[in-house]
Amino acid sequence: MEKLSSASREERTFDAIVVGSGISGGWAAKELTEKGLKTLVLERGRDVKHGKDYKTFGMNPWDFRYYGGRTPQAEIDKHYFKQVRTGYTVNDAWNHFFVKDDEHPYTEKSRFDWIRGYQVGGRSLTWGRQSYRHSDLDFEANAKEGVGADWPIRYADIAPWYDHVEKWIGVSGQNEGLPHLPDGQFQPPMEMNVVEKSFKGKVEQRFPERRITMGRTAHLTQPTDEQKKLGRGTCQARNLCMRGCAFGAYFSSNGATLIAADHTGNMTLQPNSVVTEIIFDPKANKATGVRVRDAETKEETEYYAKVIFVCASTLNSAQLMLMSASDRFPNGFGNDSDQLGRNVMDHHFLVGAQADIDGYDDRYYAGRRPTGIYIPRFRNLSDPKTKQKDFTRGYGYQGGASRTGWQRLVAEMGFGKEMKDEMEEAGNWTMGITAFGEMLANPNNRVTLNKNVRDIHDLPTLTMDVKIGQNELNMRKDMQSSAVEMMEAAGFKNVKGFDRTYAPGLGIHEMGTARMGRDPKTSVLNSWAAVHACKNVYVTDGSFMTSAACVNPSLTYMAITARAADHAVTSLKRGEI
Amino acid sequence: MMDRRELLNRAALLLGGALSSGTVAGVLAGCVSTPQGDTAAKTFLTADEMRIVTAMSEQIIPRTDTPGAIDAGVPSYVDRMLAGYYTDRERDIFRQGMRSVTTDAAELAGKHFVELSTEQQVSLMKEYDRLAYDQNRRVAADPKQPPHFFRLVKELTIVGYCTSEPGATKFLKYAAVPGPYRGDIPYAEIGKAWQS
Repeated sequence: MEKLSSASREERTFDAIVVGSGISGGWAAKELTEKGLKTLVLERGRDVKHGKDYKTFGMNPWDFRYYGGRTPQAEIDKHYFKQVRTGYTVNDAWNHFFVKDDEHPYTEKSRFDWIRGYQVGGRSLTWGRQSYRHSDLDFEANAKEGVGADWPIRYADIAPWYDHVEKWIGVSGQNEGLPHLPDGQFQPPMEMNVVEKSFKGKVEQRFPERRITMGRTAHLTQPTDEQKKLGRGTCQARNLCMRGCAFGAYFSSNGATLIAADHTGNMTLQPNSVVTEIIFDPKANKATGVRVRDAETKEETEYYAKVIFVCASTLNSAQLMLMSASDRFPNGFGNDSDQLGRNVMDHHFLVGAQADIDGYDDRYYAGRRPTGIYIPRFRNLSDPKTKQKDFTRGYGYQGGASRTGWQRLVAEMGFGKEMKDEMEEAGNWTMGITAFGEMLANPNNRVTLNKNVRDIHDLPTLTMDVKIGQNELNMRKDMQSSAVEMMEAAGFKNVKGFDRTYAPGLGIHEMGTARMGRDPKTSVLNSWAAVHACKNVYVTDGSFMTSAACVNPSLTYMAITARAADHAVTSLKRGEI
Repeated sequence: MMDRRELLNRAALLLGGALSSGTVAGVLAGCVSTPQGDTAAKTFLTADEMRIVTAMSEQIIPRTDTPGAIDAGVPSYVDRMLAGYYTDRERDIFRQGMRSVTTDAAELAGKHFVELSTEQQVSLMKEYDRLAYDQNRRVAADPKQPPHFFRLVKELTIVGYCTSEPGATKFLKYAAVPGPYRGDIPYAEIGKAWQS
């Protein structure tokens, strides 16, 4: 055994270990500690205290060295050459919540945009906060079409957990009564502006099967007493969410689950702890703990627990399991099916339409709404009229309208007082919508361990080989033409469809590397998101996703995590694990 | 693309006069300070370039009943951005642009740019603005094309002004904490454009 910390084995033994403190790890921590388990939460990155460590939270544009927080190209070239691919994640206002690519390399067999945040709270600090439920249309699709594996659960299994999570995190939104986008426990929706209202009216009239609703967003618009007690308040419409929110208005691990877990007295949160191995005891057929490398000292320590939650994020959880090979699991932890690291999915997007709108000069808005409108899927539903011949599954649109600002004058001709007068007034209305489409599971889309390229901790890294397929390419044509036809139906002018370069990963919805399934021969996890071959290890980040659906996935990660935690505690009490 | 001779002719035409280039050499002699090559330095602009930037930025956003570019500290913002934010590519374009301004002013009126009348400055800048606008289209079609230097001057002036404290708070409508969102209200209630 390598050098171990001086703490005794007893001091290093807990009821539960949670690997990762992002949106899933935070939920595992909260649920397990509230159910009385002494829980060790291991986070590979540094600590980020709610409020106190949001160092750019109160900064005005002119408080940044280069107004507005623009990061110089030289720094992007050195540290953020992959993170920059989103077009919005690199900024002095939040660079500290994203990894430096030179410290955490990966290899691209095909282009893969891996946007990561290694700190307490993970990407729950910077997520898009859109929160939608899967429906049975999603849970049944693989089985009906013979794609990938069948989900081992249906909507009825997860519905109560969606309720539980939505009530607790706070989601603002509108119930629409759509079977394929189930209603939820919502706080009041944010308001549409005048152009969005007009768009909704005209599009719904012209296309009765389409619905325009307000984005369902994890922002408090009417906080509950429980949320207020945690120190959370109403959204102040700054739309600077990626800096961290000291109002606690949007949901993050730091501002909610980790605080609740801490209040129980049962949580030990340990940052700078990179988990390098899940330790397996073949005699007991159980995992006994994890091995941790201290991110700063490189010292290695083992920690032990009865149950382990792997919530390191989809690709990192796959990496950890691939690194945890043993005599029993020569191809990676729990990988009897050879599906570990395969079936990588994302949501393909950056296709849609934009337009200009005449009129409405007398209307405006107050504040920066941190969400947009949402157009739920309307293709390939149960109604035969919605069936498409060129593609299966569907997509939804996110978008919104706004008035242009001073930026419009930069590329125009003119300067002096006349331009200044024009700059003082809001410009014309514009609107854009972009589609997010389902990507099918494909075992050839995979990540593999690369022992030749090492990260800053001298650990192996990943090689990505993921591409979208013909179904997605066919879908993209419809995603664009439907967007154009809705803009035209609304009477907008200068309607332009677009299809910008999309590469897997850019949706920042990595999913599927340890999918759930009924059959251990074709899946890694069972219906509780526990490893088929080692039932005291649960994997409850995006790894478990058997199919991607077309909606933002985080709400489902949280619901599955809460459900798995309940199952773990029940199983422990019964002595089953 | 218009060449520099044509530009000067057009600027002169706008001013209703002929081109005189008598004391070009003398004017140019006044601004020979060689800039530092060190891009890590905190400043980039020479004193002479700074005078041009100052004059141009105030012509782009003059003081009215609200602050102008100089009030908002735009010149030093331009210098800071060039020194630390931009790459050598933009720095070279900018420096080359400053040289042509000096040459053009000398040929147009035999003076340094900052010594030209407002009318003369504006006439030259209008020509630069037209060229920059044409070049914007080429860049839009092919992002590898270099921007015109005046596009950099104008962009830095507008961005620097509108993200400065005077520009954001005394000219535009700024709210650090807007409060609960209201989606559909009369424009008159805000009365001007939001800073963001």
